[in-house]
Amino acid sequence: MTAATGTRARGVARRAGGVPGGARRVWAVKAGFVALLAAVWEAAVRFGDLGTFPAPTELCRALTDLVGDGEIGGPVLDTLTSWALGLLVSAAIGVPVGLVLGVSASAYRLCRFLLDFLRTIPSLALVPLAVLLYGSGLGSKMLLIVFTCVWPILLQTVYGVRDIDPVAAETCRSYRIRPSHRALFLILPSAAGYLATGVRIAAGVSLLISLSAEIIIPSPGIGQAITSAQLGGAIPAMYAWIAVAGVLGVLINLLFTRVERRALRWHPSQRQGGGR
Amino acid sequence: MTSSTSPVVESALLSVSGLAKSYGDGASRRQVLADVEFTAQAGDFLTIVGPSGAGKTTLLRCMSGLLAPDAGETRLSGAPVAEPPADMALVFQDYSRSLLPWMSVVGNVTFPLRSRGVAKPERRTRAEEALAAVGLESSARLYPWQLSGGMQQRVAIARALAYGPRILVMDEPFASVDAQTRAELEDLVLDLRDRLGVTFLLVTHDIDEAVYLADRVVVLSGAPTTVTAVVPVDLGRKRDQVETKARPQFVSLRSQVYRLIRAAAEDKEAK
Ligand SMILES: Nc1ncnc2c1ncn2[C@@H]1O[C@H](COP(=O)(O)OP(=O)(O)O)[C@@H](O)[C@H]1O
Ligand SMILES: [Mg+2]
Repeated sequence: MTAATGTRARGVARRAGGVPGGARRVWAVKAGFVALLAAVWEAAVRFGDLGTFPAPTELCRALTDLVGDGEIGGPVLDTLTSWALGLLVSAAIGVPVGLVLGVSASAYRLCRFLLDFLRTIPSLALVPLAVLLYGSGLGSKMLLIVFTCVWPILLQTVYGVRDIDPVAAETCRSYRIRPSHRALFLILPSAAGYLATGVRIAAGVSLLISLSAEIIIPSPGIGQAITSAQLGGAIPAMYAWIAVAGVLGVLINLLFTRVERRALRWHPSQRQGGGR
Repeated sequence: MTSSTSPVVESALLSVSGLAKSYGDGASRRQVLADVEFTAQAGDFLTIVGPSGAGKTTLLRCMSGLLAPDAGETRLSGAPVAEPPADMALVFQDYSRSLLPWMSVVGNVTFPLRSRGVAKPERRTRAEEALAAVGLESSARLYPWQLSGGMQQRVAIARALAYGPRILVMDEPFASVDAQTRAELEDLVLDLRDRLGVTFLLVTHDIDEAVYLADRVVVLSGAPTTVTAVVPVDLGRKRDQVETKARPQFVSLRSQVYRLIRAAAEDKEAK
């Protein structure tokens, strides 16, 4: 499973950078590599023929312009709002439903067909429906995001609940742990590793669907800004907006990786030194 | 051949009678327990010894209300056990899985109390006392996985003590620690029994351990399991890993238990 390999790879990376001096050197090498790539790219644009593809300097200028005249704020805010709200609603639906389907095998069997059916509908097929219901506003984007993001969260929660250690469960039963405490202090933490993976995947997907919806519907946000720039012939601005979307994606992934690492300090994949 | 007679049963803290349990259905049905019977008096240190696969864990799960037996019943302080009773605390063999890794040591120890609605100051005190009793007062803030195996099992014992049970039931608690740690933990539970007066019921496959710890040893036969004999151990209250185990009386008790287990196995094979 990709999630498991992801966490393991991260553990290895952290161990490699364990020495403080070594970490600094790793960063220096990384920065140097990026600078080298940028230089090659700049040279390729200046001396080669890459069509409308901008040089890094042009891209930077276009980006500074976006930031400078404050144009960047609105679309970024629009995209982030739908991203965050969509993710929140997906979790609010996916986690509780996942808990129930994880605990009750019969409930899972009952819903399995419906689940598999809904999950395979590409959300972009729902664009006309979303527009019919909510026009080009936030509602449309939310519908599409939630319809896509609820599945990874829900399924990961189901897997997590199923993975509760039977000895831990039996211990809780023998100590007469009451149901609310069971859910909060046994089931939820047991599922936390899976859940974090589900939310991290959903966070990326949520951004993807936000942008796609903004381009296709179109609806206010970075996606629409990309289309407008292209239609208006502002090609460097178009690239700048694409870069903004990319940076947002990287930041979101970084944020979730950090939060996951802090929240799951106790988890075998995150333990630093000691432990078994 | 059990030592239980009805007056004893009535005054016993724990009494198990006619317990039977099978796993599986139809052709794959396999009887594990057949008519298991024994009693424990308050303050007793009872050990149950039987070979691996004899159904010791099954027996504990049935008598602690975790698993419904096919027949028979367990009574604790006279009341039939249908679900895990509040007067009984369990210590599992697999400490690393029984302790919750997302809770600190003190969090694990207080968790059952918190769930029972014990107020925070009292939880604190009880956890501190229990951790001090097992010699872990300085590790309260650590996480279980930061401790050695022996220390983790001490945490599990502290959790059981803090729960305030009348009987502490342990399923091969020292089977997965090294020999030195095992001896230390054996002496720890003997000491706890002496100081706190808790009743212990400890299951083991190790005959030495069964005799060393017990006031009485309940000897199980192989599956389907019955109680072959209850052997009283008159070695006094004070035990010592070296001295007690060298005593002729200890050696002869050990041989007696060993012979009982072997005879039961041969008996079963003959059938
Ligand atoms: N949940 C179960 N389902 C089917 N068979 C089981 C189950 N638990 C234990 N058994 C079988 O019952 C027998 C006794 O198991 P157990 O009580 O764990 O023995 P012990 O603790 O003495 O080693 C074993 O043969 C084991 O395979
Ligand atoms: Mg066992």
